[in-house]
Amino acid sequence: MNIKDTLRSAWLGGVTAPILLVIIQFLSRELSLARFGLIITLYKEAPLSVSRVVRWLLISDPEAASGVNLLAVIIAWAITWAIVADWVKRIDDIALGMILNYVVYVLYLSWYRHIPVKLYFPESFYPIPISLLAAGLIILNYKRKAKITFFDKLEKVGITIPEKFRIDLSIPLSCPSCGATLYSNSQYCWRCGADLESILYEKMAGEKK
Amino acid sequence: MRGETVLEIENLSFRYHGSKEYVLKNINLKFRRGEFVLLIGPSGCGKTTLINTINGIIPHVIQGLRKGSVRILGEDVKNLSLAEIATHVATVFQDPETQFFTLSVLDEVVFGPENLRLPREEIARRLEFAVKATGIEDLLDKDLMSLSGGQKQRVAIASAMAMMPDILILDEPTTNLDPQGASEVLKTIAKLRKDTNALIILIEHRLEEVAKYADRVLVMNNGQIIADGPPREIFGNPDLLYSIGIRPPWAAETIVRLQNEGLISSDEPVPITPDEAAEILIKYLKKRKVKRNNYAQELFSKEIEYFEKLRDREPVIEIQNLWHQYPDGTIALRGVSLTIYKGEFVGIIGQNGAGKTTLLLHLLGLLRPSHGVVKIFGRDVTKMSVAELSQSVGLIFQNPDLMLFQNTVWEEIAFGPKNLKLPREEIERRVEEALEMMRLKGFERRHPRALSRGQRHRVAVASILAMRPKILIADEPTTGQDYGSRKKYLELLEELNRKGTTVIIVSHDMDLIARYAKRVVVLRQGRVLLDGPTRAVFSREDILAKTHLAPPYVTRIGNKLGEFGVPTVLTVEELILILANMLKEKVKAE
Repeated sequence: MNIKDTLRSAWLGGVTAPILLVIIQFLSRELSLARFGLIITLYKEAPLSVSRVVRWLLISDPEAASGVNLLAVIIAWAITWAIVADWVKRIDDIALGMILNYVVYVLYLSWYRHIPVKLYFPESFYPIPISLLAAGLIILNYKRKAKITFFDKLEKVGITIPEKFRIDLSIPLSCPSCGATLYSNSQYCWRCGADLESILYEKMAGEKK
Repeated sequence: MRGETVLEIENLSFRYHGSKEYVLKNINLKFRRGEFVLLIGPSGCGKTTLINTINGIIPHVIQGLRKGSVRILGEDVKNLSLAEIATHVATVFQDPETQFFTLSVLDEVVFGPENLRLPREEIARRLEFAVKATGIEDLLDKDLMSLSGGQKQRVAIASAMAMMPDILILDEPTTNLDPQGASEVLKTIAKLRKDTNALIILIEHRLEEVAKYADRVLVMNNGQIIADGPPREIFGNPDLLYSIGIRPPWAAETIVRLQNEGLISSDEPVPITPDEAAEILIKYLKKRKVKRNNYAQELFSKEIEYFEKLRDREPVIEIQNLWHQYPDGTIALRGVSLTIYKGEFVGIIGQNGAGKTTLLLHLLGLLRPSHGVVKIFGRDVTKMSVAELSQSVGLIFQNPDLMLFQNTVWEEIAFGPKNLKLPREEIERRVEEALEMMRLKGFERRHPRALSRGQRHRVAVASILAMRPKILIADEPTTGQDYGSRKKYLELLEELNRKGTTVIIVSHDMDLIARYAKRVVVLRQGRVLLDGPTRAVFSREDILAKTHLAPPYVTRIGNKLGEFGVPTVLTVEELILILANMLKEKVKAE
């Protein structure tokens, strides 16, 4: 666990989720999703307050606990934590960040805005596993991609790099021909002029295999 | 007609508008058709001003007070229009791109004659002449932007030749080129020398390469011509050249110094090329039957010991299997693994495109590796902030002017530390220290741009030093500077190195690398070709030739004398000392 990454997760998640929820509301109105029965009622022709958005995110507002509204909140949470996962890339930090984010939201409402926080079971807890699942999928995809090396990418475009150029060497090396110290993977030995690519790196690549 | 006077300068003095000092002082010269004249002198001595009085830029474009006359075929340039002068004089500058007007080689070469509204047949004739004279037949159907630096400069020369000028002026045409590009241009110049009847005036710092073509050498200093004569006469007086900050060709200097010591007869002609010098030296070494000796072993053993012990020091830069592919698909680095240790003075050499700049940009964190890791003091560069990196690595640009943007020297040096948000007292302390170290005391309130190039270089270095970097990287630090300025600048880096700073210089200047770097890394096509103690690297002429590099001329002279036990030498002083000792020993024995 990395405390910095946990704080980063909490910060990014805490800021992104409200913004995304408002964007979802905005899009539903602009795209007239009501035609398809998808009515989100976060915005009601009155100034939208931060506390209302936070209450929705915590599903502490009965309006948010059902139907399309609940779906909108869950989508906002899932996208938020997928974004966080793309940045932080560690599920434990993300989970802790999420909890911290919850605590901050609750403190904001109850302690700062003096609004009682009432949770609904099980609706108020749906976003947590779904957000963790979204974050987990992003991390898995990242790990799968990370396994594709630079050399794999080159191979895809038809460039094959011989193993002797791929191996990680531990510098300094010694020339097998004269014993001179080598501070780089030079093609030739500075002392005896030996062709190191054929007498050293190729051999090392073979041994590694 | 060969031999006819084509250019005559009489009592020429010139000072720029707003300046009290004359840049040219009472110059009297006569030039004949077909002459090849080499014009040399330290930076700022007035060479460019002199050629500008010939090609008409002075007085037609640049204003000032001109006294005396400059006559081309008897007509003063003052009375000729620029268009008329262009039919007589063509100039090729350092950077060929600044004089290109079109996009293709063919269009560029015929651009001048077309503008003279010449008949189609005449343009074709001139095209053929220019192309043949410069040997660019294979480039004619190419786009200008696809050419290498050397090819571009050859096209610029061809465009100038297509004007069929009576006078061709070449102003440091190889300065911005890598060794291969420079060699292409120099071959073109050699061809011109043979095939044309124009007066050629060449300004060039690479005396070794061009001295053999010259019929006449003009030495300029402080706005005056201080020597005028055949190359062997001028280069036979190395002290005069050194006194104005010009280095004579090593071949000439070696023989003249040995002649002064009475070890070589003064009847021997002053050589200009390494082959000529080697021929004389072999004659004397054979005549005196000098035996093989162990000078080489003594010289090498200390350097090898130093090199082998580097592993005991702290590694400051660790590059592990570094690959870099640019977005266009070019693979610039192909698995470089390299470690540089604390307090080293490393020279990085290679042709353009070998990966030198890409490597430097990784050290500065400006490029991210496609594969591999770059560590500075054990930390991955990609995980370091710009502020952290700037305290570890300092880069001095090729052109100091790119680094100067404040109104006073003091502010310029304080800019970096201020950005590190250091306390005021610390900033003041660092600035004072940098001023002291760079000998800039008294210049604090001066505008950086108002200083000389050498001083501007020192301000640029001071602004980096104030950040207290532990690694100093200089990219092509001496391009376009005369020998004196180059020497002063490198001595400065050497002094910093002695105080513990790790110094890395990237340069095409083999003389400079040979003299100052203790280790040389040769890059070729994104890989390390050779890496070792400087002397060992320059002794491997065969391997260097794989990337079209050659050791300094003085080293080549020494290498030609290998059979007599002369080791690979790095400086002219070394060569003279070794030869003097060998020849003296024999004289004593006799």
